[in-house]
Parts: sequence; structure tokens; C-alpha cells
Amino acid sequence: MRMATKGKKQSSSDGWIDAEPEARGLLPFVGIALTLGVWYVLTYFSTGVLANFAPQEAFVALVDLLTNGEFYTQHVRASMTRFAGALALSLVVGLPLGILVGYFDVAERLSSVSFQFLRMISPVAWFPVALLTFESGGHAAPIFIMFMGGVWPLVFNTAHGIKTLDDDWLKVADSLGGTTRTKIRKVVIPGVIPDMITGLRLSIGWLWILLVPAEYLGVNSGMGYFILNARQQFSYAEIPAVMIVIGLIGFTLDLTVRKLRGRWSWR
Amino acid sequence: MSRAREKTVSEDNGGETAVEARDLTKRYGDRVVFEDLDVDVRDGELLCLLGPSGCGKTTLLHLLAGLEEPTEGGVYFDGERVEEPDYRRGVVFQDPHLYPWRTVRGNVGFGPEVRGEAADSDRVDNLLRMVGLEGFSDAKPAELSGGMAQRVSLARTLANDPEILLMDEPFSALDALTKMELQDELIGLMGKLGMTAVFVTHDIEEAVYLGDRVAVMGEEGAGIRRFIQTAGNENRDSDGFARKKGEILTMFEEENGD
Repeated sequence: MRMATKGKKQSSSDGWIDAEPEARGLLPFVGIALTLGVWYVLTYFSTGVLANFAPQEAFVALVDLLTNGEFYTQHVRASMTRFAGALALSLVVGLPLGILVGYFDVAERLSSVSFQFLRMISPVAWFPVALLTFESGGHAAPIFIMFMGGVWPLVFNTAHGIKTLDDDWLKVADSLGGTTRTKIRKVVIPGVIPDMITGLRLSIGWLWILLVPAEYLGVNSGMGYFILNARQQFSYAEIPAVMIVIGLIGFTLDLTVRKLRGRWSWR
Repeated sequence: MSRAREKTVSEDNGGETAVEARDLTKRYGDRVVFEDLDVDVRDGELLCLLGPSGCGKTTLLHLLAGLEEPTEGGVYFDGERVEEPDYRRGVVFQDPHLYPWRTVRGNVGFGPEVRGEAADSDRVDNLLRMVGLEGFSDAKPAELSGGMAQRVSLARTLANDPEILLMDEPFSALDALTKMELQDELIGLMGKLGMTAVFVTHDIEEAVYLGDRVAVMGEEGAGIRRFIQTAGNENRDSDGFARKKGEILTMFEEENGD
């Protein structure tokens, strides 16, 4: 398969597949058009309920949603608040924990089995616990569910960054009179910022994916809630419309972090 | 040049000792690096530790610095036993190991900062001027050549105002011309600061040129074979320089001939 593609590419090296630089810039848009095409074809040829999800209807619903203030004040705002809360909690817990586990062998040995164990439990499995613990309808339960997924990439990437930090940087700091405290502040933390940003990017991915299921239960606001509610109201076209909004926000968040990563390009 | 003259005071054995090692033994498992080694580093001198790779010269330097622990015996500095690194014994490593996220200036000021003090801005400026990098104060390490990076590394160590400078083949990765340039700069700097230093090298010419005294080390396990008094900053083309070089070379050849 790969060979065939390669052969084809070579044989048409002056063709449109090896496009000119200006044309290459257009390729993502071609990709979007193709995706929309597949979506259209799938719903066009399907019978029954799937036809309700057609793109032309979804875009009409999307315009309706975006011009409807309640969608923002009720749902987008609730989702963004929960996302921000879960991200803040993940950072506040994940980064110090990652530094602790990465720098101190005792902390690593103490925590590694427990952490690897907890990490493998789907955050959604915590739903009953979260619903019983936290007040219904509030932000706490979804924030907790998201946090249980979003904290690990920050912990593990920070810890891994410290493990792979250039030992000589610490040796130099030792010889210059550094203490554990100043070494962590002046060498370890700046040295692992690239890894922290990688962790942040993965964490945001997790949080954003978990947002929708985290809003399926126990709340009556947010984009996850909106999707389930749309189904119950038979407003099927609103479902792909909200999906587009979720995808757009997620894409923008990821792009922002990638830009941030580029600013720490010394590694 | 002036340094060589100043040195005459401490060149007799009556000079005060800055750092001393007594009955120093270092083993890694069954491997003996050296046994019962004694060395005095006299106040104000530049002592070169010269030997083939694997002879333990870097290990000896690390022991003097407190970066490694002796198996037996001890290192004494200011009358106290050395147990850990101390900024007063400044180390310059073989590679500059600059912090890539800091500017040149930020790297030079790192020592005081990591000790919890604010870096003295005038002192940093002064050091940058002394190593000829005043124009690169805002550059990042990635933009520097090898020689420039090693100058920054030296300035970073000096920013802590150490009492003794311990250098581990700092010029070995540089090209011949840069190396000679830096050797002269180092001599000038040491004279200006009136510092004591230990300089590890495997380059006979470098040892004879830089050192007031050269400690010649043998193969692994042999320790220091001999101390040779050198003139310190002697003209590389002079007869005396060639004779010292020849003397050391013969020693190594005899050892290998055994």
C-alpha cells in the first residue's frame, strides 16, 4: 500500500500531487471540503434517522445556535467554566506533583504504582462517586471527572522531563553553591518547561474530550448536556452543529498551546 | 607575564596551602583509580594535573571540588574537610554546560542567583568585559561558538568570586588557535585576579605553558608520579620550554616501555 502510493507519487512528480508551495497552502481546505463531502454523501444515501444529520441542515442549525444568546450564556459559558476549572486544578496539582515525583526518588517509588493504576481507570468510571459527592447541577462533578483524566499527562510529562534533564546542569549548579530549593527553581523548572507544555497540550486534549461525557449526567447546562437534550427534543440537526462548535474550540485551544511550545524552542 | 614574577614568592615550599589532599584513595568497586595520593595546591599557583586519559585526573579534580567522595583519606580546604561542593572552589567543566534558556548575561549571573543572592550587575559587566564578550550580553548560548561558550562558562564560575579555580580540560574541545588564545587570556585573568587554580589536561604543551607546577600522573592506579616545576607562561619557542616538554615526554615513554 505504502509502496504503491510512493510509486504513484514519483511517477507524477510534476503533477498536481506534488503541488507548488502556494497550492500546498490550499491543501487543508481541500481536506475540509473532502470531509464535508463524505459527511454529505453518507447522510444523502442513508435512509431513516441518519438523514437528519445532513450537513446542510446542521449548518442552518449552527447559524441558529450562534445567533442565539442563550446558547452562549447557558451552555458554552458553563462548558468553558468547567474546562477552565479542571485545567486550573490539573495544573495546580499536576505540575508540583510531577516535579516531586521526577526529582525525588522516594516520591517516585512511593507513587509510581498507584499513579499508573489510577491512570488506567477511565475517568468516566468515577461518575457515581462524583455525583454522590458533589452537589447536583453544579460545576464540581464534571470538573472532577475531567481532572481525573487531565492531571496525568502533566504529572508524567513533567516527571519524565526531569528524569531526562541534563545531569550536568545540576552538577554545575551544585558546584556553584545551589541548594535543592534553588536548583529546582533555577534549573529544574526552567529546564522542563518544554515537557510541561507537552503535558499541557495532552492534558487539554484529555479535558476537552472528557468535557462532553462529563456533562452527560447531573447537570442541565453545557455543550455535553445540550447534545443529549437535543436528542430528547428530536432536534437532530443541532447535534452535529454543537459538534462543530466543540471541534472548533478544541482546535483553537490546541493551536494556542502549539504556538506556546514554539516560543520555547531552545531544545 | 607579571603573574610569573608575582609567583616567585609562593614558589618555594614555604607558600601557604589552599587545598590539600591527604592519603587520598579512590576506588570504583575493584578498580583502583589511585591510592594514598598526597597533593598540596599552594596559594596563588596554577597547578596542572597532566596525564593520559583514564589516569584519574578528572576524578582527582572532582574530589578536590567535593563533587565526588573519596574512598579513603580526605581533601582539606581552609583547614576543613571537604564534604560537598562549595562555590568558593569554582569548577570549570570540560563542556561549558550553559543554560540554554538564559542569555549570556543570565548565565554569568547564575552562580550568585542559585546561592540566593542577586547577581551584582557591575561585576557581571566587568567579567563579560574581561572575557571579551561585552557585546554578546543578550545572546543565547546556541548562538555562541565553542570558544565563546567556554569563556561564558569561565565568567560564570568567576562571578561567584571563588578562592580557587578547578578546571577540567576546559579547552580540549577547541581548535588549536582558539585554544592558544584562551590559554593566554586565562593567564592574564589569573594574574589580574591573583587566583589559585588547578588545571587538568592531557596536553603536555598546555601543561608546561600554563602551569607554575605540573603534577604528572601515571596510568590508572599509579597516582601522581612526579611534580615538575615550570616557569609558568614561558615562551613556547624557548629552549627551557622544549626541555620541560621533552622531560615529561621521556617520563611517559619510559613508563610505557616498562
